[in-house]
Amino acid sequence: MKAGERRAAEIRSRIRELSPHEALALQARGAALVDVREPDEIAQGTASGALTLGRGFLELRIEEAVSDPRRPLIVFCGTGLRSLFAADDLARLGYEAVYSVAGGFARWKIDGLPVEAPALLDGAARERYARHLRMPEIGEAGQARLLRSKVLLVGAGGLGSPAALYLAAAGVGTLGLVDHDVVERSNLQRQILHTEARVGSAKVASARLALEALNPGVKVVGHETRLVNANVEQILAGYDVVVDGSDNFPTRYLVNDACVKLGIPDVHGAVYRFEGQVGVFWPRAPRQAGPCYRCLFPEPPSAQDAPSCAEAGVLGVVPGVIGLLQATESIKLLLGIGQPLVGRMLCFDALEGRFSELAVARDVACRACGSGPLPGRQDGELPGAGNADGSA
Amino acid sequence: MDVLIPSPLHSYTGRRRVDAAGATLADVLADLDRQFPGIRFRMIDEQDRMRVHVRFFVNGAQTFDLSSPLRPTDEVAIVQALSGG
Repeated sequence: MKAGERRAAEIRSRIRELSPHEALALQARGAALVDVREPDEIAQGTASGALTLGRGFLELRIEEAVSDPRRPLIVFCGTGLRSLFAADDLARLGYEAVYSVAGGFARWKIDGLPVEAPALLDGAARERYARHLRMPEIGEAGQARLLRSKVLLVGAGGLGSPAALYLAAAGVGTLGLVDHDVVERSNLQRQILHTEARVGSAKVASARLALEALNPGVKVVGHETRLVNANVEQILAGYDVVVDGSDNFPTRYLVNDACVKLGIPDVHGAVYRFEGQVGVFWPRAPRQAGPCYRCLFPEPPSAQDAPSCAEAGVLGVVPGVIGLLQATESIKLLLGIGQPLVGRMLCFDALEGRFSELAVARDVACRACGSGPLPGRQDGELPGAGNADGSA
Repeated sequence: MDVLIPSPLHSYTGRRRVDAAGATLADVLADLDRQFPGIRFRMIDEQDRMRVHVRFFVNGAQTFDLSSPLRPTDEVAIVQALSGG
């Protein structure tokens, strides 16, 4: 008999083995089921409700996962051998009732017991997104969801730069970019997608280089064109979230109206000198219908009432702050976590170092999303045909 | 009371946070115009209507009524649509 087998036989004298059916019954009575296999095995699927702690860091992670040493632990591995050793270690840590599953996950599956679908992340992705995977709000399922998601960034400028970089880093699988401009040297004070060497290049091409260098797993879809009535719906359709980082009012209203029609959340950001605004405009929000941008500002101001940043200036970091809040809101929307800025607008004042939160109400008579008695529209019914969850 | 001025109107006030008095929003705007002549017209049109790109919030809640009563402890935030990106 080999040393390992001798040791296993010795452990069996003090660690009780359960059949998968016995383990399932004990789990239903409150025991913790612990998967101690390697991450690449766990990625192929695991027992429903199992804590996927793995063997390597088991002793370090178990206390966080199961703080009560009296709670029974049922440990399993692939075939029932590694789990014996792991169970023995856990008993030595002070857990009073530790069991090992005979036959492991292989027999669990043969017995037809409930399993969780295999995850979609390969080894490289699990390493890249390790900090996301550690958080239960994201985890492997959430990261896989981000990788399947599509975000369109309108403008690859001051707001679009930080938003696109962080969304690419976060593993949002498809990033669309709409911009018809070329990189100018005066952009580089804030538009951190671009570089001195790429002055004169198309912004979309420059942004693609930066994003693919950061995360080659992200698909970048370039739209090197100006958004106009004739193309806006065609370009926006199919995206889960639109990040408005444009630099002019006609585009902002165009984006809002198309988002309303398509049912896509419009993650709006705008900056001016030391001030920034960010909010999510989404009348089709599933939990509570929110206002659209026109509910807040029905019409754009005249040019003299609203000079652009080119005329008035902007502190370079302000679009950084606001663009990252737009990225944050986008990720929350894609994952369905937290409280999105639906019906709220955050106003950032860099000089005061202060955020103020404003409650933005829906305007029932709004021209874009209003449910008022407009021709051909029933009360309470919204225009457009997007999905209620925004994943058009 | 504290009134927060949107950046595009700082050319009138020179700063974001100013002090103004009044029992209603209309009174406060009149006081602002006394202190910073011309600023009211940038927010309120000839027909005494709020301009469509300027919105008013009292303690974070939007108000559309210039005659709504205010307390000296209220904070009025005037917000203007911004386009910069």
